Amino acid sequence: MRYHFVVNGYADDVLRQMEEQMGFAQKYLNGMEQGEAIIYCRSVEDVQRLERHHSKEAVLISAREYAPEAVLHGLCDRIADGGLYIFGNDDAGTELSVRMAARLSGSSVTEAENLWLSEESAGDSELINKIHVMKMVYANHMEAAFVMEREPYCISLARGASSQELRVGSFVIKEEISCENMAEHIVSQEFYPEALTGGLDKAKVILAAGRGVKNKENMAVIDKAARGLKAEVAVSRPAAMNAWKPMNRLIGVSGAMVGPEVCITAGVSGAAAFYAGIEKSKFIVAINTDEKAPIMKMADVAIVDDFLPIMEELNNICK
Amino acid sequence: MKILGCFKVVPDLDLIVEEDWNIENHLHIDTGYAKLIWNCFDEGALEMMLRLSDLSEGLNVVYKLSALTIGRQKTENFLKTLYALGFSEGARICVEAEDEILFSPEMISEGIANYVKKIEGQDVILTGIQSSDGNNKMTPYLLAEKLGWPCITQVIGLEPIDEEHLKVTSQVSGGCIVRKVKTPCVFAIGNAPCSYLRIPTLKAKMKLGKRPVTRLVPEDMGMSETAENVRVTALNPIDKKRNTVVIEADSPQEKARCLYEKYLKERLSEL
Amino acid sequence: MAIISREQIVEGLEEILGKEQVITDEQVLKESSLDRYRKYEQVCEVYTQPIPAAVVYVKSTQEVADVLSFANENEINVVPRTGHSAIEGGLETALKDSIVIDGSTMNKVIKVDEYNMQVTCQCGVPLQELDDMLRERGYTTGHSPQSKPLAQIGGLVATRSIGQFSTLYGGIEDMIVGMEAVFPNGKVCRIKNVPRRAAGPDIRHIICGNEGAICFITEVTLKLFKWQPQNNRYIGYKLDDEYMKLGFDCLREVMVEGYKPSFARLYDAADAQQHFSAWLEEGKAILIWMAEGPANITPAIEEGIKGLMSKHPELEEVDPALIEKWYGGLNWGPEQIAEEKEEILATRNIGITTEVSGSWDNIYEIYKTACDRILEEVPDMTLMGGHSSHSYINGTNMYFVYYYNVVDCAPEEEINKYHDRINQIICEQVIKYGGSIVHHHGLGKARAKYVTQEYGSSYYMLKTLKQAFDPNGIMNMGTLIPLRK
Repeated sequence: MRYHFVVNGYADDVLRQMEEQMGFAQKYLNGMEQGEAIIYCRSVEDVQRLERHHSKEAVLISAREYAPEAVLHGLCDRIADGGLYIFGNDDAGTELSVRMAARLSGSSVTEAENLWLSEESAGDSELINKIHVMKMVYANHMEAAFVMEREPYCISLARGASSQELRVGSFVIKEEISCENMAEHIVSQEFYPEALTGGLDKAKVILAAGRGVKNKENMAVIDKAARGLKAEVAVSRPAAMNAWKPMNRLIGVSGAMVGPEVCITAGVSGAAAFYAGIEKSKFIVAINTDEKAPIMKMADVAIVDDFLPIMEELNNICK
Repeated sequence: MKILGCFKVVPDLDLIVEEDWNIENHLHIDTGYAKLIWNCFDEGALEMMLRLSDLSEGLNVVYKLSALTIGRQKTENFLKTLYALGFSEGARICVEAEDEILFSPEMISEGIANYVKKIEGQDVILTGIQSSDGNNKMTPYLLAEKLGWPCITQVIGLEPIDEEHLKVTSQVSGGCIVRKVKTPCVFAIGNAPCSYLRIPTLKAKMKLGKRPVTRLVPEDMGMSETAENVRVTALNPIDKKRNTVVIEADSPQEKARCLYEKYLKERLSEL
Repeated sequence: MAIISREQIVEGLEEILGKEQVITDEQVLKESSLDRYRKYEQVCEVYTQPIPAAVVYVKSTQEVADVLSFANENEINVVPRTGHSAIEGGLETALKDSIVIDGSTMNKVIKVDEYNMQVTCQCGVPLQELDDMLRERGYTTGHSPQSKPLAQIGGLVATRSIGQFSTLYGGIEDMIVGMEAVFPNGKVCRIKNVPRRAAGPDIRHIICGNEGAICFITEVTLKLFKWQPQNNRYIGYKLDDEYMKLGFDCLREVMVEGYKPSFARLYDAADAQQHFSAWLEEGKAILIWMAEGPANITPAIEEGIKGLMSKHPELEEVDPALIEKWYGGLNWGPEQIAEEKEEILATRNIGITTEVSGSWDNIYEIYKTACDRILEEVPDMTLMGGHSSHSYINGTNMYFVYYYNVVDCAPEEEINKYHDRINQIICEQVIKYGGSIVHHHGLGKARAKYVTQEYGSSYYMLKTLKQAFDPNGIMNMGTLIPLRK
């Protein structure tokens, strides 16, 4: 079986999406033959400008404005055989993978975490040589394995997969399919960019201070370390109630509920109200002088010590 | 303009006791005891329909709001709430077993498509982008394909224009797009700013909520012969506990260095 | 009211405690001017109460004594606070330039005495942390109010709180052993820890339930109980809503026959749908018991209750696993509060509770007539119901649960248009039929206006207590005894 990457050339983060596709292939598609990539995009120039690739050849489906109906038209026209199609992790990838499978009588799974082929020796004869995919279900409480019954197999990737560096150089463009004016239902459209805010909601790294920070002067040390770590500063409720930071920096149920990649807490005890606010963090570090503080069991890594020298040292390292 | 809101009633997963997540060799979870709630994206969709209707006041457009759900008898209370809020039609495709509609987006979308084709024609269909239990993220897209309609995803706002057009706001990476859209169309509702459904008063419930719900059987909606192209084979619990590693060293400085080198450096560089 | 200026109050406090413990940030002060009684104002961030001069965090009994003496000399109103989960206006700063004394920083567990089965802790120890810690050792305080994730020991004692397992363990008044409290003149009083005493009146009850209007509680010793959840048994029955009267009688039968379940509950149909909508038909009320204790006792309680209930054909037994799982998933806490806030802002629909008590012979009338009157007289109601959750040999409580849409009404008007009006109807019906207008949330400021009707001739004793211990009128004025307007 051959696999193909399907790339969203309209996306600002197209390179990151491609890196994750590469990462996925490297981890789970070993030994499978790679076919040409399919890139839906504004123009050939956009693709050439990438200067990175993860497939030698590519077929372009182009239109000035993205419309799933136009891309699907190009996709389904082009694809004659079966195979495995790996879409990116954005909404477009999810929508297109599902609708492409529907049009071609294939099967699709969205937000796949991994993939494997069942072995010849698998006990259940029905499952032999089938594609299996794992994804999160029940609002991330469970993980479910699915077997895909029909080709073409179309999957979109889950967010936050491991990535793999792309190869330098451009795609060899085999063909460009122009799909202008195929979204007749759209009479007009306008894009409104979002004002960039340094809010807690979207922060990748958060440094959260609690009552253990003791006073406003010590908050300055936290601020400094946060600049070094490129982190947003947040506080727990006791710290906010002490006015060490304005209320819009408050994390927890009466403030922001966040899910950064890394959340470092300093002098936070870990009250339920606070923890609920950081529970979705991918990685939690707790620094507290009290080894029995509840936060110490809720963190991935804990340091039993005063936060001040730790913060100062972290700041030195980051310099 | 006839607008259909398709919703799923789901168990409140926050109320599931820990041991029920730790099952093995089952293809669904026992959620039968947990309080039933609107699937959050669908709730946003239904509120969006009501707001659209509110906005049409004084304009020359009439919106006829209908709602359809697929599920067990208990979900009819939700349809009656919608009646009390001003929906003019409520229908349920009767499926009593929870697990039959969990990982069955093909069947669900087939049911909705046939409702629209055979029972009540519609101009617009709204449905949440995914359900909190199945997390399939497929139904609106499959529905669009089955009807041959276009689809707009991550819709967060609707405003009236005229009998054949709507102003549709959808979220995309880096901002949002506002489009003038010609019906028919399927809208997959994402993180709408108004995701909570308003609540009818007891008086409105007494007055409007008593109308019977239209009941349909899956066989008539072409659902029984619809096969899924993807089949669930296993369900595994996820260990949410964090196995805390305590960093031991002689000085705080060393601990900080260890924290950085071992745990932070790589994670921070990936960002 | 204070005889010195706002600035002088802050200066005085900073002299006593140092700058770090005296907070004058505007937002903090605003949020400290109210509690969840004005939930709608709170979520709308509209503040109608006088904004306090400062919130002070105290670290020792001596600091409490110093701050109180200062306030007493300068006639400054003081509002004692720990977990900030009050819901009857007890934490509202009703007078200008008040000081909020926050005891949450006094959060040490002083001693776990497993041999004498008691635990001593400072006022700011969160109940959740205390009980979690005790359970790890195989013990419990037996106290499990819904506010457990937020409430702290000082506030729990000050408001005479009660927990879900009260039918077995009693309310907080049955759990307290000794205490330490500071009076307005700075006098520190310690009541020693003994199993019982008959040396005059039980002065612990001057402290327990004082709602911060007499003294500041700094330390509490509570009883310990064995924690053995593996023996728990659950029993449930459903019945038509029209049989609510029978439901109360069933609760009574179990008590009268001498069984001691840990919880005993009766939900009417409206309230039951909030909890059991997954499997309970609309229009059905539900009765639930849980038996807790040694392994040979809980099956006996279960069997006894089932025996009694089998005589009522109106009841239909419910799978106990459904009750057990519901109980296991009960998790009201900070997440729910955050979600509630957003929900209220989005839907302008708000849910509130009022708890009262009555004897077996009047509780049904209280329940029925209050519900009927509210539905008749208050507009925009979206849910009206309630449950009984604490039973005694001679009566039970009623926990009214009500939701309404706030329609054409500014946030500052909401309390008059809806909440106070509903509260008033409930209090009127309770007084008419002879119950108590407060079962376990405290009088606060919201229900203080009914205090003379609640107390009758015994109001003399309450008033005398207040005058004797707080002659300058600085302790949480407006709570227990209403302000003269």
